[in-house]
Amino acid sequence: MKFDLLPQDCVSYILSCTSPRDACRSSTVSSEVRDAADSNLMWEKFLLSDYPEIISRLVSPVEFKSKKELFLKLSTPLLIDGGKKIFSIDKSTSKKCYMLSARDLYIPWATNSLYWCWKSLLESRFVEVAELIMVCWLEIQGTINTKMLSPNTTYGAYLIVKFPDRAFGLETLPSEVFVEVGEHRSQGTIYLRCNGGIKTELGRDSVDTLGSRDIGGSVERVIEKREDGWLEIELGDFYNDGSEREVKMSLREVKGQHLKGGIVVEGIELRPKL
Amino acid sequence: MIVLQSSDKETFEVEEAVAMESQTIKHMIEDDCVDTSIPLPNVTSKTLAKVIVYCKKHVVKDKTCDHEEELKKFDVEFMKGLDQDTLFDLILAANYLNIKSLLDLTCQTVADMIKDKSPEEIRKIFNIKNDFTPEEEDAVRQENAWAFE
Repeated sequence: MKFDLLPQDCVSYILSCTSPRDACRSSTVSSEVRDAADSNLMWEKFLLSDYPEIISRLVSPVEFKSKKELFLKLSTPLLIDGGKKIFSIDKSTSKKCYMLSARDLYIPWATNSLYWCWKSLLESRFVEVAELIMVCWLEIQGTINTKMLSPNTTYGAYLIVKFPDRAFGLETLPSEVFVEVGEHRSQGTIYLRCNGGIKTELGRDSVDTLGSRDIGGSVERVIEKREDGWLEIELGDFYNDGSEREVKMSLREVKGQHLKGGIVVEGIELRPKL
Repeated sequence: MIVLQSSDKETFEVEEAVAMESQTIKHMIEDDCVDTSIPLPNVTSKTLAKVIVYCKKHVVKDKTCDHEEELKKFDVEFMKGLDQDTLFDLILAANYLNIKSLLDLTCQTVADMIKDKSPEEIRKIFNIKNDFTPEEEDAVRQENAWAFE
């Protein structure tokens, strides 16, 4: 059959036009396909072109015997930039993902131990997370330059949080969330309900946490559970067309004069949105 | 004009610019290795005819949106209804003749046939023999377990 006549380079090239998942699955088709699927030629294409620069910024060095091994290692979350961020390659899309640690964010009053405290949590990948003691002005903001991300990709920004039992005052008023890049602004509101449900307009609690609702031009977000045990709140999304711009991502509840406390912030994650 | 000769000794007269879409032929011409005609012992007349049709369309370097759209439509039509044998012949020809855009197009077409398919389906589509023992196949599957989740 004609497929057998193709040189290994061609098969590698064909597989590199699929996805890392399809390529690895194809490894079980036949020994020839497996050899093509394991080739450095193929994994070079999935690896980002600037991977040497990324490797140089990792906190711990990675050892690898093949490009496939390097790709798989980089697709696990790794501390980078002095531990202030976490980097990984999204396995399905080969795009870059980052999580900014709480220390990498702009949180007014965070240096004052009356308002925020910094602690180590086993469940966090970072050295420290920020826990809100109490403030009136709740603002958490992160920025990143689009040149760090993969071009021609739509990204979602997500605030990663937990609510310990002592949380209070967070759900009295809705918080505003937004993502701003140049002229583009993606915004929403969210009630920081500690049990993860959404509060509907009529005040009825709903356990359904799937999907968001549109309320007059601003989408009402929901808190989603993550696989790693944390919760996430979508701040917004944007399309990275490859030009160099600053992305601003934020959650704020600054209208309410009352005290709020008890939110634990791990960081802000940016990942491709399908 | 350049004369190209297929493996089955058929000759095709094409403009130099069209022939130079192939990096292989381009180097031959630039290195002055060319006699009266350029022999291409790895490409049959049937495949060469199709390659020439492709190159004639893609030789026009017009960066306008309209032309890009036109090329995209042409590419879709070009690949439509090709049987597997012709498709692989085109890949081999594009590889040998070093025509990157044709190689990209043909390989992406095959890649689209592989996407999201199970290994068994892929074997069926391309009539590939499974030369693994059950133990070997299991081992490869374990190695790539994440891809099967």
